[in-house]
Amino acid sequence: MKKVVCEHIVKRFEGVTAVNDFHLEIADKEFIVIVGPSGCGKSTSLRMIAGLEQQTSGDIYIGGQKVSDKPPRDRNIAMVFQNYALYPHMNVYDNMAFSLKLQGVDKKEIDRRVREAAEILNIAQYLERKPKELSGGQRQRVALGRAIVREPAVFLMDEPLSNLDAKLRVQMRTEIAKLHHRLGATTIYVTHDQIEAMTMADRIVVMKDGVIQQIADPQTIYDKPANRFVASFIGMPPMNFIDCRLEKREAGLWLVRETMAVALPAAWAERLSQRFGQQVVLGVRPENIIPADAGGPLAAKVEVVEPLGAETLLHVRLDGQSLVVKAGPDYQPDEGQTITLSFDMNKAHVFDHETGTTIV
Amino acid sequence: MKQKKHMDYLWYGLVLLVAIPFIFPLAWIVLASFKTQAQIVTTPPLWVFTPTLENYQSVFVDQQFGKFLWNSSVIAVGSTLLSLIIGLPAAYTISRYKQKVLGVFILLARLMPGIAYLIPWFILFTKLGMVDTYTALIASHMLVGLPFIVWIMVNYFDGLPHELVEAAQVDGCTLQSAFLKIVLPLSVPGILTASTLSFLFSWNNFMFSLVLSSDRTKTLPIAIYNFVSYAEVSWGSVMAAAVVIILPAIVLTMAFQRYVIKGLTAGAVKG
Ligand SMILES: Nc1ncnc2c1ncn2[C@@H]1O[C@H](COP(=O)(O)OP(=O)(O)OP(=O)(O)O)[C@@H](O)[C@H]1O
Ligand SMILES: [Mg+2]
Repeated sequence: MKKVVCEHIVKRFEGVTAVNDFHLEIADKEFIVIVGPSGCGKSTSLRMIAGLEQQTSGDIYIGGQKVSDKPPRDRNIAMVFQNYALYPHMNVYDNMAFSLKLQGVDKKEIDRRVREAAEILNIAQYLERKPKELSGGQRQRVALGRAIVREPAVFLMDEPLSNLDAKLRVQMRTEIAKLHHRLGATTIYVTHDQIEAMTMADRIVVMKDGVIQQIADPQTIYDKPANRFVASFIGMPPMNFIDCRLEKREAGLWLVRETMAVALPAAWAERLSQRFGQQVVLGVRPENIIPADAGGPLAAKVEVVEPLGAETLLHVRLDGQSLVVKAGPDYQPDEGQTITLSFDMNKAHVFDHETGTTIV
Repeated sequence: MKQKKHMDYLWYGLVLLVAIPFIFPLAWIVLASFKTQAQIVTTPPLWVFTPTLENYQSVFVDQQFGKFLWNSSVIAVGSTLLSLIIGLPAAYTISRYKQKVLGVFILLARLMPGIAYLIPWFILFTKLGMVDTYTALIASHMLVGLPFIVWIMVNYFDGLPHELVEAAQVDGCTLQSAFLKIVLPLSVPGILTASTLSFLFSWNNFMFSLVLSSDRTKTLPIAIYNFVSYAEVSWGSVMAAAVVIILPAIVLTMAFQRYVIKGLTAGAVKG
């Protein structure tokens, strides 16, 4: 029973509501990733679960126990901080042993657990060193080690990889995922990196301005974003958005702009029935725009070509709107050339123009 | 390379020039403390002579400087330790909960002319029958030491990453044990600075001791003052007494100079 439940948590700092109605139920062994842009309240949410910040209202349960008013030490959690927060005056061994000593675990057991964690994390040879004698990656491992020796109910991690260089970040990402498989501990992981979210999470929580936008598994978040914000935040390069008007014609439903007109699948008719004649937003991911030299329905001018090796990114202008298109590596038109495009409408989305909520 | 060497000499020359006004009197005092009265008043001054310990003997045996040295030490160490015990948690709380206003008030207590406290204190301690006790002197000296310790340590604690304490709290500490196990060990340089300064303030303090001490608790500065006001001035003994009072200050400052200089500029630049 290592469930975590956050019941409608609200956090207000003087004047600002940092987190509003945060409601989340996390299953045992689940890996939850909270993502969102800077300042959206990710850290604040995590810190409330840790007990480092007191929520204004709402309750938190860990392992079935209400911990809302308990200090961090009584919540059976371990936390990994962005800046590692290793104790500078202690060597690696003592850093990892600190919490166990406080718990009064006997010396032999402490030694066993510290060495085992050091083995798992590949830092056994640094046990005698002080944190300042370690590289960033090694420090991060120690921070992880300090968390895992505890064998806590829940791991909390606040952007643990953001101080590492790109390559190390990818490597540590895999290691944390492996660690999670091995230990099977409930984990709540905060990041603003959508790739970390997509690759590590069982479920992703997308936040914006203190409010949860969507909670779902990575594929659902990607395929069925709840609103325009989620659609734009997840996916690289981001989804293209095109303002259009919805029109019902003889030959079905159409999205139209000045020179552009796209036919919609007939199946969408019912869900769009209230909106004929209204402004809506069409969302298409770069990989769902198919370029063709000729024959496609939409003519676009190529502005920039970015060959990335495995694929080519085309920045094109279509009816006054800039779009990004992901094409195969061999497709490399000249800049300035006019190409034609077609949209894979089965994977497209329609959003409300004002609220951004997903209509289809 | 050569150019650089010249610059070095120039630099040392300059340093020497600035240092002479400070070092000369000191050297003169130390030398004089080993001379006889006749040797001291000779002009031109004697630089080479057979040293005598007579002055020190007179200071320690006839004038009982051992006792005053003990009094000064008890009061300086006592007021510093007590200031640390009260001041460190106070400073941490001010820093942690961002009570800057409170900090400024405490510093104000220090900036008020000490003499303003003297009369109320004298009356208070007289009524309590505590004039000429260590307690009264330690308490009065803390008026200087405590605000200094709080002020320096608030700045020092502000510079410590707050995440360390949070990590400790998650690891199982209360705020108090995190303070003892994480904050204090990391603050040793700051604590040394603050303690040294507090110690020196007390050691050099004249006014409070003059009013609040008497035969039993007389401190070194008062003893020397009384010494000078004797009818016939024995310069050699005065110099020996001066050496006794200066020496600990110099030794302490030398030992902790690295930290003390940092402490004196604490708050000037957020490090
Ligand atoms: N102690 C505080 N006092 C006042 N406002 C705060 C405090 N801590 C956070 N906030 C505000 O709460 C909001 C959420 O902050 P939070 O640190 O949770 O964001 P975040 O999602 O972690 O951002 P980042 O990705 O930059 O770390 C921000 O607008 C921030 O300014
Ligand atoms: Mg944050």
